[in-house]
Formats: sequence, structure tokens, C-alpha cells
Amino acid sequence: MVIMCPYCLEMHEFRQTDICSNCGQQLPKKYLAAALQGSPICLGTFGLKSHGKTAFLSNLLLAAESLSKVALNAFPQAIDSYTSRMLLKWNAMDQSGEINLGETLLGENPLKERPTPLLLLLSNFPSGQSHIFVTYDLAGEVLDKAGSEPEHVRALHNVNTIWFIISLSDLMKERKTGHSMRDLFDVYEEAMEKLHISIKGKNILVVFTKADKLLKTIDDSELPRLPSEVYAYLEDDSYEYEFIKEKPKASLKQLNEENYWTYFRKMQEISEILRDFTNDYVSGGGAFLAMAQSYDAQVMFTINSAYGEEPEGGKLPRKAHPKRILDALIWAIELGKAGRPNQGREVALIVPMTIDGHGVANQDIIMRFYQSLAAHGEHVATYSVGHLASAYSPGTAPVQMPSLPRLPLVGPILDRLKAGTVVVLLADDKMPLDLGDFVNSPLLDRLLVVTTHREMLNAWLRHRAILQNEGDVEPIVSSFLNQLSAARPQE
Amino acid sequence: MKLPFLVKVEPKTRFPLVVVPETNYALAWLPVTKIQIEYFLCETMDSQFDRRWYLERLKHSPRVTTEELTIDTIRQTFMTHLLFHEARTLSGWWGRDTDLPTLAEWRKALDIFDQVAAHDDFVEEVAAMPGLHPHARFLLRRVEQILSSRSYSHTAQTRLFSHQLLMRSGILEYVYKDEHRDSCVACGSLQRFSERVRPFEESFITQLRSADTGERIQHLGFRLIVRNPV
Repeated sequence: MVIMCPYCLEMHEFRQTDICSNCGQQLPKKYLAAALQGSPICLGTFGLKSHGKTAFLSNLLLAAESLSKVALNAFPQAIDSYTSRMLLKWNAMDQSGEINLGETLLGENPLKERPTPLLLLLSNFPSGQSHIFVTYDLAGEVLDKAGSEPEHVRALHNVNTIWFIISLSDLMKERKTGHSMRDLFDVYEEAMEKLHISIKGKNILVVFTKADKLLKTIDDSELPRLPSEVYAYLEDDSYEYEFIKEKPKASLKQLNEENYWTYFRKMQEISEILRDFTNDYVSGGGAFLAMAQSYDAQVMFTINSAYGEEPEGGKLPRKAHPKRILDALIWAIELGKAGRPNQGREVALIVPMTIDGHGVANQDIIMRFYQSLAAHGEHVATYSVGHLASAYSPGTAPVQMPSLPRLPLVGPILDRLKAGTVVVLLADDKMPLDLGDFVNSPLLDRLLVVTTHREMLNAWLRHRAILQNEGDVEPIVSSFLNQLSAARPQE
Repeated sequence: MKLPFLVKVEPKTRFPLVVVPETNYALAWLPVTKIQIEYFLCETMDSQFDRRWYLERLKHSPRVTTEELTIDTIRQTFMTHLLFHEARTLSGWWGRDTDLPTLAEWRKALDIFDQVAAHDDFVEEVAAMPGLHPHARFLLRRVEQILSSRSYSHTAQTRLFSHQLLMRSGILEYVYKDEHRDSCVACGSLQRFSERVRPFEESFITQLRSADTGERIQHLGFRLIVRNPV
């Protein structure tokens, strides 16, 4: 079974092993088991330094822990020792009121390395559903380096939902330094571009943090005034986890299936109000929304306060009273279900073993196929004919395909693909030796063969195309994907 | 009728293995096929087994797709025209416990499999196993169809389980001559059908021109043995 390694973020076969063949990391057994049941919900935080990313994330996991009191049979589990350690640390801080987040989670990882994810399994929430969350917290410093060292933000390339963490109060104060919401999108866009990762159709959840500051300084003319509905919403949080912890279960309003949907509808209302607010009052907010829309990205909004009030000298005046922390978790679940980014099928782009510049054995043509498929939201891995391992892992552009003196074989590659993977085979002057083995295979329903040699295309190939020039790439890809989409309901 | 032997699917190329009762090994249901070796060829960086090497082998035994298998081309589905050390290297790719069988192991397996009459249900039972390679499934059925055809068998009654495994009618297979495993002979029969003759017929052993290196013969391949199968 091919699943995503949460450490190197690449898709791998984990057959009779729990060691990732790419990064050598041992995957927790619970992760493997859960990932086999369903795709993990990958989340990534993205935001400026000191905008409250880590505080929000730590409180989010603590909020998840409190769910067992308000949702029947719900319980979260840290599924690796790193997440367990972080939860213990945050729990201790929560108990003592001492705020010492120190560095972000990346603190344990030098900036040059990839971040370690938090791995959390949330069972029976909402009712009967279980989800595995793979969460990457990127240091604010990463943004400063994103343009020059985009590897730091690679963690965001597989995420279903990108959380743009923004402290409105800090952002407004930083206006004089030129920072705006639009800048955040610019940095993200630039980094993704350098990594050749398509952002078309990704979910963006804008998380406005440190809401307590906005509530307190409501008369500060420098800061925008929150709409009254949002103000009321923040003040009335039935699922504030400190409150849940203190009260007996019987006295708490249960978040059963019906209440869950009522709650979610309210979240959607607040999101719409915050969208208008962002457009009208937040610096660079209108441009942010317009840019996201140009990428067909779905943007949602939520607002919260990790502590309920601002820590002073590393200590809270009283115990933390976080506001609406749970909303982001529910958004993650619901956006994960919609799964717009990962709705894109997995596609194996198989290219000739020798890149000699002719026909489809041409680097530019290969890149065009990759870009066209990725632009349609597909998750593309690139292979060379005759070579079992992918040359470029899913989501990574084949910027320099190697010429490998291999045998013209595709069977072993096709056999190892995840079930349902769509295949685009670029065939140069010879068809693979073993393509004929698939004459009666169901694979033919999702295999497109493209060549410049008309005589090579057998009639039994259900999807086949002749490439005459580079302008043909997009129409060929679009037509094939449309045919697949049309065929989907019948499958 | 239920197959009286335990069958496993080897994990690397997902072809079936039959556990030989009262021994600590399993033999592959069929000799190693070209499709299986192609997995190795797509993975290895060993220049000995490069493109030229394989294309040269195909000149002597052209590749056939499973759809094209007939009574005349059935042998071409297997990986043949190999030297002894090549067969050893290839068998080692499957894993530490995977090897060529010794003559004694091959002979014992034949003896045991000769005790059971062939039955179509056996093949269907294996073909229904989860995880089997789709081409293995197709190949098993196609081979059975060919083997049970009138033009191949004398009479259906005389068919044995060993026939279904192509141990009596298929290709020649490299085996180690003895426990030292440094020399080889070939086992098997190129005849279309051979009656049971007991004890083990000497005609089933082919001495090769060189016991050290073997020799490239058009229909000489190998069958996997997995010792201590899990």
C-alpha cells in the first residue's frame, strides 16, 4: 500500500516494513494502521513570527483532549513519542499557567531540516468518524527564508489545508513596517512556485489569533473593530476546554451529531462575516482574497484566542481561557472531507528512458505535461520507463529527467502504483515491451498513451493521443481528464 | 476438490509457492517467468543484467504476452537461456531464504507431488488467493487450460499434481547438484507429457556440459525455493 511518509512527505510503498525507504524513518505502527484506513488530514501552519502559531497549535491539541467529555466515545491519541512529549509539556504549562513555548516545534529541528510533524489520531469525532492529523508547525523565521530556501516550506506541499495564522493586532501594528496579509500570500506563492508545487484548489483557513487583544482594545483607533456577531461569538464558547475540564460531564452541552452540525453552520456564518471584515478593514485583505481566488483556492476564516488574555512575563495572570480553539479543528475535519486538493487523483507520468529532445522525449514537453496535470489539481509522480522507483515524487516537478539506459518496461511500475492511479505514458519511438500484457486489464480505462508516432498506437488502447506540437499538451490532458471524470460515476 | 497443500504468495512479485509437506521449504508453483525477472531488471543497478543482456536472452526465447500463450509458446513465458551463476543471482534477489533448489529437494518435492492426482479446482483455488499478481492468476489458468487439453495430455486420469506445477512437462530447471551448491544439473522434462515412473527417473536429470557454469540452453531456466517459509 502506498501511503505518505509524514517525515519526508513522500508517497512510498510500506509493504512488510515500517521503515520509509526514502528517509529511513520508522513510522509509528498506529500511523501505518490509520493511514491504511483513510488518508491523513495534513495541516500546515504558515504565518509571521510571534503571531501565535505555536500557542494556537498547542491549545488546539489540548482542546482535542477535552473532547471526550462532550462527544460520546471521542478520544485523541498521540501516535508517536514526539507528539506525546509535546502534549505532556503543554499540559504541564496549562496546569501551572506558565507560558514557556520557547521555540516553535521546529525548535527540535534545525531550520535546515524538515520539521517534525505532530501525529494525532482523533477517534469518534464527530460521531463514528476517526481522523489522523499530521500537523506541521513552521517557525515564523521560515517565512523570511521561504523565498531563498523554499525547502523549509516543503512541508506545506502535501497539506490538505493551509492555516494562515495571523494576529490581526500584530499585523495592524506592523503596518508601518509594510507587512500585510497580501505579503503572506506573496511569500507562500513564491515558495510554492520555487518548489514547482501547484497551489491551485488548495484549502486556506485563515486563523485570526490573539482575539483577546482585539476584544480588549476595541476603542483603539489603530485596530479594526470586530463585528458585533464575532465579538458575541468569542464570548460565548460552550466548548472552551478549560471550562469543560472544570465541569462534570452531565452539566456540559454534548457535541452530538445534531449539535455538531448546528455548531458547524455557525462557524460558516462567522467565516463569512470575517471574510467581509478582512476585505473591508484588514491591511492587504482584499488583495489576499483576490489572489487566493485567482488560484481557485477555497478560503475560510476562523478567529480564536489561545489563552484568553495576553501573557505577561511568561505567566498568565490567571489560568488560560482559550476562545473558540476547537473551530479550527472542526474546519480541518470538514475541509479534509471535502478534500479539494487531494481530490486530485494520483497520476503516474511515465516518460521515455532517454531524453534526447525528440518527440515526447523532450524535457520541455515533459514539464508541460506535468504542469498541465498539476494545474488540474492532480497529484503527479514522474517515472522513467524501465525504472521502478519514481524519478520525482508526487507533487514535485520533473525539472531534469535523467536519461537512463534501461529496458523499455512499464509492467513493474504499473503494478506497484496505488489502486486507481491514473497513468500518462509518453512513448517515444518504441512501445514498452510489456504493454501488451495489459490488453485486457482494467488499467486501460485510466491509461493514456501519448506519442508522436501514429503507427504505434494500437486500437486496444482506450485513451491514446498523437502529439504534434507543444500546444497539444493541454488539450490532450484536459480531454483525457474530462473523459475520466465522465466515467467516474459508472465505476 | 480442496488443494491438499499449503500455498503462499511470495511478496516480491506475488507469484504462488507450494509448501512441500514434511520439509522446511516451499517451491514456486511455476518456474520463474520473464514478467517476474522484469521486476528485478527495473530495480537492479547491476550492469551484468543490463538492457543488452535481456534483449540477447529474448532473441533465443522471445517474450510472449499472457494473451498470446499457446501450446507452442508456453515455454517462452519462462526466463530461460541463463547461465548457472545468473540463475543463482536472480534467485537471490527475492531474499535471503530464496535460492535454487538442490537436486534432493527438487526430487523429494516431485515425489510428494506425484502422490496426488491433478485437479482443475487446485488452480482455481490458488487463482482466487488474495494478493496474487494478476498476470500470475491469468498464467496459472492459461497453463492449466493448455496442460489439460487433449493435445497435451494422454488422458486426464493420468495427470498428476506435479504436471500442474510443470515439473514433468515444461522446461529444464537449474538445481544444485548437491549440498555444496557449487555445481549444477538440470531437472525436468521437455516432453509434453510424461507418465509417472517410480522411482525418480534418471531421464529427469540432465547433465550439463559444464557443471560449474551451466550452459545457455533455450529452455533452461529455474524455479525458486524458499527455505523456512514464514
